Amino acid sequence: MDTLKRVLREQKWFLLGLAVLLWVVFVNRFPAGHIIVGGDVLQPINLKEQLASFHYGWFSGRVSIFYSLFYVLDRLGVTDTGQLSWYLSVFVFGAYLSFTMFARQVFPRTPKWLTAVMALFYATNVYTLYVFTATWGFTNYQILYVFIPALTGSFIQALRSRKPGDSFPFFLIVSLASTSFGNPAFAVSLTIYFFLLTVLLFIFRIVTFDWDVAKRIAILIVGALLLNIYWILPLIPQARAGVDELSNSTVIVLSDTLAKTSNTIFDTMRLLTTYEHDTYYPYNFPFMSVAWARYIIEFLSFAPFFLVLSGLFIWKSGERKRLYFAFFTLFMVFIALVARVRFPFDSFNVFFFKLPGINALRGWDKLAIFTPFILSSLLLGFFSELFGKTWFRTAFAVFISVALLLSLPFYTGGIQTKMSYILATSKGKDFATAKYSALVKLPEPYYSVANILGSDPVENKVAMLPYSPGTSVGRVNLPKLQMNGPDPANALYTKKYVELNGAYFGNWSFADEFSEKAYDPQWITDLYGLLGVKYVFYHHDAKPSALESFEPARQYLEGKGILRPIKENEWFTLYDIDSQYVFPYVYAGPDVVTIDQNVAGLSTKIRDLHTHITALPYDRSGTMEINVPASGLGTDSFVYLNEKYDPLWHAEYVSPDGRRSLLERQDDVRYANAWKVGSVDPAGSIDIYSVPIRFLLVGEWLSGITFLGVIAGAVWVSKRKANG
Amino acid sequence: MEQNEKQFDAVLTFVSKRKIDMGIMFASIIFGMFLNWSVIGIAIFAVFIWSIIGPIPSRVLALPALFFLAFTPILLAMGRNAQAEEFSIYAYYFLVMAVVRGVVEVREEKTANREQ
Repeated sequence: MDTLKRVLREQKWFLLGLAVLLWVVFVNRFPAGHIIVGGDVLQPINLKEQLASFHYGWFSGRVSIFYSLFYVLDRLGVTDTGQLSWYLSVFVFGAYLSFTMFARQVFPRTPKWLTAVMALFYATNVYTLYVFTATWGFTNYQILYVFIPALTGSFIQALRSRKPGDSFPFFLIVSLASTSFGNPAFAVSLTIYFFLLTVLLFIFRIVTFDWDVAKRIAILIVGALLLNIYWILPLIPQARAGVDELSNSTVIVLSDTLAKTSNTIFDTMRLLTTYEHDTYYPYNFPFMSVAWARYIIEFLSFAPFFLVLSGLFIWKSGERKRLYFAFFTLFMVFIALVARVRFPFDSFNVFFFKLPGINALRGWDKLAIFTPFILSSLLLGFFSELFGKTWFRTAFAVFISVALLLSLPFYTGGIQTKMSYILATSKGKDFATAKYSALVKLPEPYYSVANILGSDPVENKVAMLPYSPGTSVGRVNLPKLQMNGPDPANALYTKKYVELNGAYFGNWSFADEFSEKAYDPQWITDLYGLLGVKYVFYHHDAKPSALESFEPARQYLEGKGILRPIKENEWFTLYDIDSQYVFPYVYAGPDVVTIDQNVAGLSTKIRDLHTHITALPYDRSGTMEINVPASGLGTDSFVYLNEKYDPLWHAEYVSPDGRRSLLERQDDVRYANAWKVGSVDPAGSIDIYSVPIRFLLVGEWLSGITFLGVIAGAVWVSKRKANG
Repeated sequence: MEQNEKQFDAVLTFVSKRKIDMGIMFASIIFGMFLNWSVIGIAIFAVFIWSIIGPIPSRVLALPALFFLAFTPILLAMGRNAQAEEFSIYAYYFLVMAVVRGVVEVREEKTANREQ
């Protein structure tokens, strides 16, 4: 009891900060039954069924640590809406804890209440408001933000200390932080950040360079690489394919993106984005009754940087001055990087951002994510130096007031219901009455058809009709649901989804032509069948013009019995396509058949191909690996895998005595993956697998062993400490 | 009159004592003209060079930065965004100068501490 009292007394400021964040989570509860869908984001739902596809599919293991928590919550029966509060909690509590760790390691003599206030500022500021009033916060996407302070603190500690055991906290945080690289561009930006930080630590003589430090840096780099190797390895073949594509086709787009997302110096200083300026707080202002206050808050948004700037006048000498100058220099460099191709940084940055690897840093947030931490560190340094001096109280009172105003929506509630980016142009600022909302309530029938799809053991796919595209690639427009974002079918069902508004068959956006009246509409179901689509959601909640335009085609296809209704309600009709039109998951053909990305003649070619193929039996030996007995294959035939075209699918012939030989890919086939088999022994088999997943498995072993080593080392060090 | 002559003598003495520094300053101005920079650009570059060879303390260099930055929110409020950006660029230049001087100051301080 006494111990508890002592801990409560010693940690009262830290606990008070936690209580404030608890209020933030409480006051920002999300309306029951809603999920987040908007922009490029669909909140990961149904994780108890989807975690494996997250792990092995799109993210190749990179985000599994993060989503393990949500998997457990899903298993425990926490609703999708309830999980939204968990996303917010993980982020704000994580950022708070992480910054507290940093402050205690790097500025150890700072009063605890001051540390708590600065950690609160780091957790709730205009940047974190950007994260949660956009839809990014409800995914893994920005989670690196949480780890930056703890990584920085433990890194500085590891370099300053002469004890090898002081590297273990850094390694433990690196293990957790490895889940931040769902978008590997963040790994690139983190590398740049640490490179600059290390150089500045030496320049400002916070760490003295000698061979011992060089060795320690080498150990930290090798350890960090090994702990991250599980996602780096599968990325190597993917990056090679990505770099090829980049150098061939998207250079102009890169220049455009760099120009579009460039940031002014003054916006970086106050943590705002110049691009989409009016979409986020304080420019997107939710307090309509005091609309004039917006201008005051815009004005005040400069105050934290002014305080930092005035810090340049107060330092006399010492370690803290050197730290302050190091972080200030870092901020100056990041202002230049975040500005991208904007004057006066354009001539250097045009070259820099086109370097291989660096060209992944297209979005503003890839580098801007570090600026709130640098600013918060500078403020912490400033106030800890000013503490006890004449102007401290005034400066701190100004800061507290401004910090509160700049993060006010966190404390008043409504980050998505009133403040969402999608409501920026809505006069009422109310998600319930707005034309579109990022909070979407999916009607019950969307959930209930999962049983129908789940009960079909055949590997086939789901797609949608009519053509009702959203504002960008990968988004659909369902106004009746107030939704403009990814189709929820992506996450609700275990079957794969063929994007309506994206490139599945080469670069052909075939859905653009769904409403074209010049062709027999059967080409649509022929094409869907070729791609292995068995189920079609016909959205009655789509745009009225799209419904009207497609209605004759729907009636025609239904009348011919090609589209057969299974479930009908006011939101959608779930059709299945007559099986005779649907291509199997694995099949063999006597020839390799290329199909032009053109509607003219498409149906004839597909039907001709269909008459010449034979479905092949197969066993699934892994999530992205199958084994096909060679007995069903003729000499010189071709084997097809009905997955989206990806040159990283490989096929090997395994002879009866176990010898393996790689089959030749037929890259002219873009609607599936095909290989030439040659002559095979019927007793042999064909192994078809995804190359990145094989790399992932090797990487997981390496990272796993390293992690166990780190844990063992940490335990050993703590035992030695305990024994004196 | 005598006062003016005294001041003029002081300037001459200063210039004659720091001939090399004056040469560098002159060269920096010619360099800016050669690259076709604006007058303000050349002036800021000259201040930058002087901040190193002068030297000018970092806190003095931070003053013009504060001055230019103080106008930025006012210009933004007036809807003069281009001018606000221009002022913030000038502020940035002075901040970079302050940082460069800061590096020198910190390193000199550390060296002095070691010698003591």
